[in-house]
Amino acid sequence: MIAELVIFIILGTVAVATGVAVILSKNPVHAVLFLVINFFSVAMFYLVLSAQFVAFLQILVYAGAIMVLFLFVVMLLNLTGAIESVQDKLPAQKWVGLALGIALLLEAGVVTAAGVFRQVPAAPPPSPNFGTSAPVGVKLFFDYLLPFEVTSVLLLIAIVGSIVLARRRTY
Amino acid sequence: MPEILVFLLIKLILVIVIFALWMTMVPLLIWLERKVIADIQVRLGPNRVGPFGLLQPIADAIKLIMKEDITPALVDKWVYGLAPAMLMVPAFLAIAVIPIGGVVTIGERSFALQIMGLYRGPGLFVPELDAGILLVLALSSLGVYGVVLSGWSSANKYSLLGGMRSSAQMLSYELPLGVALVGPLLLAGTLRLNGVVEAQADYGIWFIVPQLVAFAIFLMSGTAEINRSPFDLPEAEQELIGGYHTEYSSFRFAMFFMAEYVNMVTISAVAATFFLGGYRLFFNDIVWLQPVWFVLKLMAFLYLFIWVRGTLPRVRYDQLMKLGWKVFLPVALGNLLVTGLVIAFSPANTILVMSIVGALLGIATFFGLSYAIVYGLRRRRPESERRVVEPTRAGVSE
Amino acid sequence: MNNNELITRDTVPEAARSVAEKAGTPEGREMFLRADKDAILPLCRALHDDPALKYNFLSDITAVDLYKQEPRFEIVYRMYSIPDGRRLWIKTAVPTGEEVETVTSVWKNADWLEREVYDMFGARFTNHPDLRRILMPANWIGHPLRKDHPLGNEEVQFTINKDDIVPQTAFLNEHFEGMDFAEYVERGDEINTFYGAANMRKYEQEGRIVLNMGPQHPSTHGVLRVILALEGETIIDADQDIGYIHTGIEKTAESLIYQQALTLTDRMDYVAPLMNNFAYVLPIEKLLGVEIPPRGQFLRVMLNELSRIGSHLIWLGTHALELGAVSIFLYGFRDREILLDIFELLSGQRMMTSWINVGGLRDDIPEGFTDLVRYFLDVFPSRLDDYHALLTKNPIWLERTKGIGYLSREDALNYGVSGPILRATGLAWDVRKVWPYSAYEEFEFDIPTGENSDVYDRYLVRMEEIRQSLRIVEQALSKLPEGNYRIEDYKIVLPPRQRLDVSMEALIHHFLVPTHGFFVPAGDAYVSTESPRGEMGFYIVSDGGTKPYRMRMRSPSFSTLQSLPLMSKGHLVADVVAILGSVDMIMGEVDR
Repeated sequence: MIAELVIFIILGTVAVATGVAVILSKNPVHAVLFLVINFFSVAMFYLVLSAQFVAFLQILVYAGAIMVLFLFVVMLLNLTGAIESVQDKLPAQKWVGLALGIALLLEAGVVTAAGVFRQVPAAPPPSPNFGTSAPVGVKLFFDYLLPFEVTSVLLLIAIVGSIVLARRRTY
Repeated sequence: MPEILVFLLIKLILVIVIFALWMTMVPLLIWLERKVIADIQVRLGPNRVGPFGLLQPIADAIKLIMKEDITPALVDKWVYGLAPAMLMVPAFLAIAVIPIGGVVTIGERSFALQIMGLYRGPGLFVPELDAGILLVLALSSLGVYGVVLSGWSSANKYSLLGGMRSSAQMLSYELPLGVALVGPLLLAGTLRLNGVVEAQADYGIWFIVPQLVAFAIFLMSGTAEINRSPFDLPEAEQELIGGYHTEYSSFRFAMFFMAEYVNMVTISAVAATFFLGGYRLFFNDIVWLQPVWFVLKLMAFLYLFIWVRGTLPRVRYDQLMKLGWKVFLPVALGNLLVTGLVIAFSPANTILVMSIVGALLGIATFFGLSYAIVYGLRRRRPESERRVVEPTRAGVSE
Repeated sequence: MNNNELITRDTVPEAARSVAEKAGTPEGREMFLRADKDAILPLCRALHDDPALKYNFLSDITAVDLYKQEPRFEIVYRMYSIPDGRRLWIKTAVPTGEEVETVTSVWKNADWLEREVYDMFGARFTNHPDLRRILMPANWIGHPLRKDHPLGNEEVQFTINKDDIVPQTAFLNEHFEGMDFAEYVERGDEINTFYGAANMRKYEQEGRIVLNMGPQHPSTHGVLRVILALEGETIIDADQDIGYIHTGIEKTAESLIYQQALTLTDRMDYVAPLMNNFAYVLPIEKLLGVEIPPRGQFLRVMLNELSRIGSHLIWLGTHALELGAVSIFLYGFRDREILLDIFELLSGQRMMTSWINVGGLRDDIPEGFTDLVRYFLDVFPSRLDDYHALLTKNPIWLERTKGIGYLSREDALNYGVSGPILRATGLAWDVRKVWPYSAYEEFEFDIPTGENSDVYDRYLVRMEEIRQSLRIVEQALSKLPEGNYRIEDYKIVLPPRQRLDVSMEALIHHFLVPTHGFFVPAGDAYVSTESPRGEMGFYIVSDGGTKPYRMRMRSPSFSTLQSLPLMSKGHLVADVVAILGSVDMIMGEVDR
C-alpha cells in the first residue's frame, strides 16, 4: 500500500506539473510535449489501477496518434512567432476563469473536508483477469454494444464531415 | 530468500540476456547489411577491421562517439537534445514483450523466456503481460516523436520537411500495421505474444499460410513504419540530404542510427513471432534451443529488408500515402473480414478452411495489387496537359 | 532558298529588309546574314513566325570583341529550322555603349544567352526581362571576355583583405538597397537564401517555404543552385543560379595556342571529355581546310560513341541513385570502369585524355585496344538487359518517372533544348543524322524517340541510345580501315619520331609545333556535334595567328537547364530530383 501511495504521489506531481506547464509554455511545441508527458502519467495511473488494456490504449491513441497530429498542425501553422501578437478578444475571460477555478478548488476542498469519500466502502480486490483485454471486450461487445456502435457511427459522421470540409470545391 | 527477490533476480537476468541479444544483433545487422549490400552492388564491403570486417561496426561506433557533437546556433536546444532519446527509448522498450523462447522449468519454479513473461514460483504467480502486442504498437507509435521533433528543432528546412513527411507516414502506416496483426490475433484468440506462438504450434501451421495477405501487408507497412528503403522518405538523402537527422552529429546521430536498426530487429521479431511460428518448431524441442530458432527466423527477415534495400528505388511521398490509405488499409480490413467470417461460420476446422482461403486470397491479392500498382494508381496528368505527341521522323533519314 | 529570297519575303519587315546586308555564301542549307542592329528584333520575329522560314530553334547568341575597332562588338545569332535542318547565322555590329533589342520574346532561351553576353562583354540588351550577371559573381567588376580586361595579377581575396578588394558598399548599394555591411553579415542567412534570386522573395513574404536546393546538394550534379518556392511539398515556382564553377575557359583559351587550349576542353563536359576534344577540333580543321584520313575518322567516331556510353552510364547511375536505386549506380560505374580502362590504355589518362587532336588523333591505337573494346562489347549488352530488368517495368520506377517533367515539343524547341530530351518529345533530331560530321554517314544506326516527353521517355531514349552507340562501335571496329590515323601535314601535327633522326625539317617542326603552334587562316567556323546531352559545338574565331581570337562553346546543358522551372512547376520536391536526373546536365559544361 505504501508503494502504491508513493507511486501515486510521484505520478500526481508529474501530472499536475506538466498540466500547468502546458498552459504556461510560450512555445506551442513545448506545450504539446508537456501534454504528452501528462498523458503518460495518466496511463500510469491506469496501470496502477490494474487497467492495463486502457493504459496501453491511452498511450497508443492519445500519445501516439492524436498528439502527433497536434504536433503536425502546430508545426505546419508555425505558431512560434504568431503567439505574441494574438489579440485577446475576450479580456474578461481571464478573470472569470480565475474565479471559476478558485470556486472549483474550494468545492473540492469542502467536499473532501466533509468526508464524503470516507463513506464509500472499500472496493473488493479485483479478480486476476481485471483490466485485461478479455473482460473489456466482453463488456464492450455484450453489455454496452449499442453505445459502442453509436459511437462508431458518430466517428464515421465526423470523418465524413471533415472530408467534406477539407475537400476542394473546384473540380 | 523471499520469493519476490528470486523473481526480481530471474527477471533481471532475463533483461540482461535479452537486451544483450538485441545489442549484439544491432552491430551484427550493421555488418550484415554492409556486407550483403556490398555483395549485391559488386563491391567488397568492410574487410579491414577484424576477420571479414566483423569489427567494423565497433570501429564505426568509436568513430561516431569520438566525433565532435555540434549543436547549431538556432536550434531549440531542449528539444534538439531530447529528440534522439525519444526515438531510441521506445525502440528498446518494445523488446520487453517479445518472447525468445518457451517456458523453462527449473526445480519448482518456471518462467517464460520473455521479459514481461509468465512466472510461477512457490507462492507467487505473475501472468504474462496481457496486451503485449498493444505495447509494441504503442511504443512504435511513440517513435514518431523523435523524428518529428528532431526535424522541427533543427531549424533547417530540409529537416522540417523530413519531420513532416515522417509524422504523416508513420501515423498512416500504423493503421494497416495494426489491422494486419488482428487476423493472426483472431486465429490465436489472445493478445499475448507467447499465446500467438503456442497457437501456431498447436494448429501445426504457421500463420503465414492462413494469413498470407496480413503477412504481406505487415511486412510492407513495417518497412514504412521503420523508415526503411524503399519507404525511407523522411531521410531520403538524395532529396532531403538526410532529412530529420541532417544537423545531428556524433553520438546523437549514432542514437538515430541505432534506433533504426533496433526497430528493424523488433519488427522482424514481431513478424517472426506472428507469422513464422516464433521460437517454436513443429515438434516439441528443447526449450533452451528455442532462442536459436527464433534468431534464425529473425535473421531471415533482416536479410529480406537488406535485400529490398539493395534492389528497389524509393517511392514518392504522395504515392506512399496513397498506397497506405487506398491499398494497404482496405486490403488489411478485407483480410480481417474474411478471417472473421471463416471463424464465425466454420468453428470446427477453422484453420484448415482459413489456410485454403488465406493462401488463395494471398495469391489473388498479389496479382490484383500488382495490376493496380502498375496500371491503376499511376498519377494521371490533367487532361489539359496530356497532349500526346505523335512521333515523327520528319527531315531525318534513318 | 538563298539569302536574297529570304529577306525579300513579305513577312520580313521593311526595316529589316532594307538594312540587312547580304553576305556570305549559301553553303548547303546554311545561310549567313549581316544585319543592322536595329533590325535584329523584327528580323528574328519574322524568321521565327513565317511558316516558310520557321527558324524555331535558337542555338546560340554570342559576341566577339573586336577591340580597337569600332563598332566594337559583333553579336552572333545562330538559329535552326527544325526539323528541316536549315541553318542561319546573323551577325550584327554593336558600337560601345549602344544596346540591342532583346529577342527573348521570340525564343525563350535567349534569356540566359543574352545575360551571358552582357556578363562577359557588357553589351546590353534593351527590354531584357532580367538583365543581370549570370556566370560571374554579382560583385564582379568589369566584363571578363573583353580584350582589355586585365588578365591575371588580381589580388586573391582572403578574409583579411576582402573589404579592400570587393567594394562592398557599391555591391550593397546595388543589390541590397544600401544596407550597411554589419547588417549584411548579421542577416547573412536570410540574404544568402535570396542571393541571386531576389525574385523569389515575394513567396517568402507570402508565407511559403522557399527552399534552397544546392549549390551543395547531392542531387544537383555539381554546384547548381535551384531555389524552390513550395506549397507543402508542391513547387509553385523555381529559379536557378549558376556560375559556381565558372573557370573562364573561354578567356583562358585566348592566350593559349590551339593545341594547348585543347586540354581545357577536357574540363568542360568532364563526363565525356573525348567528345569535347572532337567538337573543338572540327571547326579548326574546317578553317584549316584539312581532310582527316578514314582510319582517323573511324577511330574518332568509335571513341566518341564509347564516351557517349560512358556518359550515359553515369547518367543512368546517378539518375537511379537519386530515385533511391543505389545498386544501379554502382553497376553503372562498374561498366564505366571498363571504358575508363580503354581510355587509359589509349592515353594513359582516365578522364582528361586530350586524345583527339587537330589533324587526327594523338597516336594510333595501342596493342590490345581492340581486344578490350571487344570485351566490352561482349559483356555489356547482357548487363544492359539487367538494368532494363531492374528498372524499365519496375512499378516504383514507373510511378516515379511516368508523367513527370512534361515538356511539350514547342516549349522544348523554344527553350533551345536538344539531345535526348528533344528526342523524347518525338522529334528525331540528331546532329549525327541531320548534318553528319566526320564519318557518321557511313554508319548504320537509328535515332530513338519518345512519345510522352516525360522523365520515363527520356530514360527509354537514353537506354536505347546506349544500344545504338554499341552498334556504331561494333561497326567501327569491324570496318576499321587501314592507313594513317592523322594527316601528314607536319606543320600541324608532329612528325613521326623516327623521322627526327634523318630530317632536319622534321626536327624543326618537332620544335615549332608544340611551342609556337600552327597558323589557322583568319575567319570563323562552327561545327555542331551531338554530345550525350544535345547539340554541342565550338565557335572558333581566328585572326590568322596560332591562338584562337575567340573560342566559344555552345553547351547543350546551358540551354536545357533553363527549362527546369517549366518542367518542375506543379510537381513535388522529390520530382525535381527525378527531373534533374533526366536533364543530365554537367555543371562543368554549363558554367565553363
